[in-house]
Amino acid sequence: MMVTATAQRPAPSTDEAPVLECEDISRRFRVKSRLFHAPEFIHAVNGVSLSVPRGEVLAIVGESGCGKTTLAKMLLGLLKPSSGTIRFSGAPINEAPRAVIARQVQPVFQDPYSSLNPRKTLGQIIGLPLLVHQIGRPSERPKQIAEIMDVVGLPPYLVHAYPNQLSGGQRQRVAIARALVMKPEVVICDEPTSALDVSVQAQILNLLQDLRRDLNLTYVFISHDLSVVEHMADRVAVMYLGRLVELGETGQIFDRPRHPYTETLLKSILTPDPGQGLPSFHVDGGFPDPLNPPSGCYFHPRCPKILDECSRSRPGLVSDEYGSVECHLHQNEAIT
Amino acid sequence: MGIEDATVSAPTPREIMRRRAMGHMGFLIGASCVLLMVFLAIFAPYLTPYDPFEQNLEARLINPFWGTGGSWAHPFGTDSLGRDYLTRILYGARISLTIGFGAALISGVIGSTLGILGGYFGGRVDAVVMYVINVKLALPGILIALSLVSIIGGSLLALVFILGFLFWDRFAVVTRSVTQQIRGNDFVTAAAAVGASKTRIIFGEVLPNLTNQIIVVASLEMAIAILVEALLSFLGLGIQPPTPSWGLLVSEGRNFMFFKPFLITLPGLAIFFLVVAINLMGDGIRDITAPEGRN
Amino acid sequence: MPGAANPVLRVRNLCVDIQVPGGTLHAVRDTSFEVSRGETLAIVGESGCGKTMTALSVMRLLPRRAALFAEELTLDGVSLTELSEREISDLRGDRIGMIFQDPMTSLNPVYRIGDQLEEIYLRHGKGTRVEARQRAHHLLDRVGITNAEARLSQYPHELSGGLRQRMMIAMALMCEPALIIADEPTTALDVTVQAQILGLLAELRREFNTAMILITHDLGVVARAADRVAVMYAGRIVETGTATEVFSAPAHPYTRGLIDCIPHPGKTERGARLGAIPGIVPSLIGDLEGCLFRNRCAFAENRCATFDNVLSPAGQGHEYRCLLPPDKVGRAMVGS
Repeated sequence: MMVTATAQRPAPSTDEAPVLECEDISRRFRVKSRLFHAPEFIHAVNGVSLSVPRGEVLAIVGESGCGKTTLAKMLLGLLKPSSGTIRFSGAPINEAPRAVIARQVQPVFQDPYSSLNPRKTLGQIIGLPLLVHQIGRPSERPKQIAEIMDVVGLPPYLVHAYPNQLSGGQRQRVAIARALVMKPEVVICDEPTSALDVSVQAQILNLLQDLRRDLNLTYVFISHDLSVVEHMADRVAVMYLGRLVELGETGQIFDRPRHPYTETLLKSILTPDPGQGLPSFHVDGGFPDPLNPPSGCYFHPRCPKILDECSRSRPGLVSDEYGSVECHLHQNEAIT
Repeated sequence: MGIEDATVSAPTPREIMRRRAMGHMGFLIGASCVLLMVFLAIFAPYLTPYDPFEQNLEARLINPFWGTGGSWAHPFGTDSLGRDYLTRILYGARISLTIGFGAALISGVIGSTLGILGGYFGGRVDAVVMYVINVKLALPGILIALSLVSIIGGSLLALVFILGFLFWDRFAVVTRSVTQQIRGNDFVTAAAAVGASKTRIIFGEVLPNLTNQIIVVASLEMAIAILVEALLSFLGLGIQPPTPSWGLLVSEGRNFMFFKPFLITLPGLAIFFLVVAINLMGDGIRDITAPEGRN
Repeated sequence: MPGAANPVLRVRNLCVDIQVPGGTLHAVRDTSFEVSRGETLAIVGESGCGKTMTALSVMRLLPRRAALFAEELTLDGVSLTELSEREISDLRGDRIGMIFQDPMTSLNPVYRIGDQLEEIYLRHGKGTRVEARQRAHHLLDRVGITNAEARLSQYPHELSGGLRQRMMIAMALMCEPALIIADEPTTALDVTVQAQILGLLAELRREFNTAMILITHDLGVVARAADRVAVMYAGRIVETGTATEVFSAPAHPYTRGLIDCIPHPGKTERGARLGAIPGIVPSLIGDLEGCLFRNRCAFAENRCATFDNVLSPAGQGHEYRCLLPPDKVGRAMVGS
């Protein structure tokens, strides 16, 4: 498929406990139950396991309904998993107080317009974490705020400005500053550039890369834009209807995808190559109903490489040194 | 650093509101009239040499200065007990404004608290809040006010509390739905992710975005409270004589309606102007504080 | 590739001015373009560049505060600026089909799909109700909505995003329009759905031989789905040409900047900095002189401030507005 050029990026460290670990986490939501019927559930996230070493950028890709937003909320400690454990640097966070989790993981959201309180100044917005956690003396906080604003590229006089006076790119920088002011270890980026113009997106992505390197951050990078993912991520996790169907290094995923859904996703990337035309797809039934998922492998009704057992049984997870995949096609093999 | 160097040219939210306020005719008229009334009410004792309760049976039913026999000694004439009418009306402003502000404050606190709790927490809390709101909406406010007043009596304080406890529905409904909208914004989620407690989120993130709506509703409710008090006093179930509530003045003037109409028209106009001014001001505040569109 | 021999839409020197508190906002300035039958013209640009205003101008759907001037604005020879409100509304849906970004707000939620499709047909006096229903059925099939018969009696909210967009396409085609204007038709859709919808549009455009204007900010979509491209910046078209020409040899620094901004799997080095365009779009209020890109342009010179924005040729059917010679900007990485 595509030949990817790797860059000179410091390799994620592997000699300590992974900074973030998810062990078979699930989250279900009760759907409005009717009288006299058993309650129905949607399994927004269904048995996901991940292990993220410090310094890595792990991308989570998938289309709407795949569960990535729910997963992000669980990683932020905003939702408790229905089952399974999440660990930060080895310590489980299931019972940890919100304040402890907040110092370790912070979000950057998609919409720069709704992620900043329109009634607060930048100084108040960025300073909120310091206030909540009583970090430093009150007299020192303006300095900390000024420092982080400098790091993200915001001129210092903006500290008294309000969000409505800023451009989309500037607002996103504010969101990043707020996320970083407490020096967390992990940043969950949920489509951080999808709502920005292309030229601004490039600025913010460059900034995120610089920050990761300078502050030794770890990113969980959720995006639907596979070109951006290919550029930013060390490893990619592909989700479908709440399950993690493939996980691997970026080069591996983009050059030699194993799961048919991954292949489908990659096929739909529209690179700016004129003359290559549009990918051809057979018209399929569309995304399945999360309340009533297909039997066996969730992807089987849309899968171009379906086997007999795909509709009967759910494939198990196969892990090797390249990553993992949940597919009957690869049930018994290890890739070279 | 340095890419985002553009100087800030867009105005702050406060500047935007100020600019809008200065250009909004309705708001300027309404607000200045309300301020005028407040001024008159507060400084009433200094503005008139008469005492509103002082009777002068020699000088009964004198016309205002524009009528026959009227003079500037009693610019608005005198009532059936010889009390100076201008003074009665000025002191009546105190009653109306106190009840207006007081009732709006109490109902604002009750209604907003319920609305914010229901809107923010959702689920069972919201179910309870909705139930309470629905029960309240089903109650005929004025009738209950009437009954309560006839039991408790019509003192100023009693009226403020009764009206405050009976007219909070609009506050609750509005704050509930706006809180739900605010809650959907990422900055609330971000505050939770930062580790802020629910109290801090409600007071620090949600409430500041609610204040404009609350003020608009408060102005509406103030006008309503003033009207209801006037109604109750007119019926004899509100402020009791000799305290000069405007509603009471209208009621007292009924007997002399045909040959001394000023006894009804003047307090009636006072009620009218105050309520219109409050409504204009409230509409203006709503327009002024309407959210800016995205650039 | 369809030539310019048969232009359906001709636009010459289109200007849109909007009165705002600070003065006159020149949202669209001296914009000219043509679209022929069977051809897709993509108008690409970032937010605020004027592309949506241009589309609204063609359909005469500008907001009340906006004033439109055009030397020529003709559809199949009929001048659109001289038509009355009644006459232009007869054209919309009949000769011009429209597809918007968010089908949920463009469709009426209280009417069934079949009714909405038929209404367009009947409103433009194309035939009887029976014929309308037949055509609706046929088009739903054609756009790939399975089980068309049942779908006709459903309401918009019962369909998924992709299906709703297909329905919008069917609606746009009911009266066999000469021109289809699609404003960000796939931005709100998942990537796999996006590819399918774009493929469908291309197929239908070929089959019905309609002209199509595709408005988007996504360069990938432009490269793959468009025959010709018009790049808009600050209310003006700064470069126009075939997709191949514009992407492989961009003549205008802004176009080059945009192309450098997006990560291109296989071409951009993973982890390297993306090219970024510094600064922000200047204000379009008041008197505007010279090239408005000069404050952000790496190649800017003093004489750019008095540049009169004339078009210069850069190749076959390829024009741009810049003082620099077309190859100064360098060949892009694409197609090398």
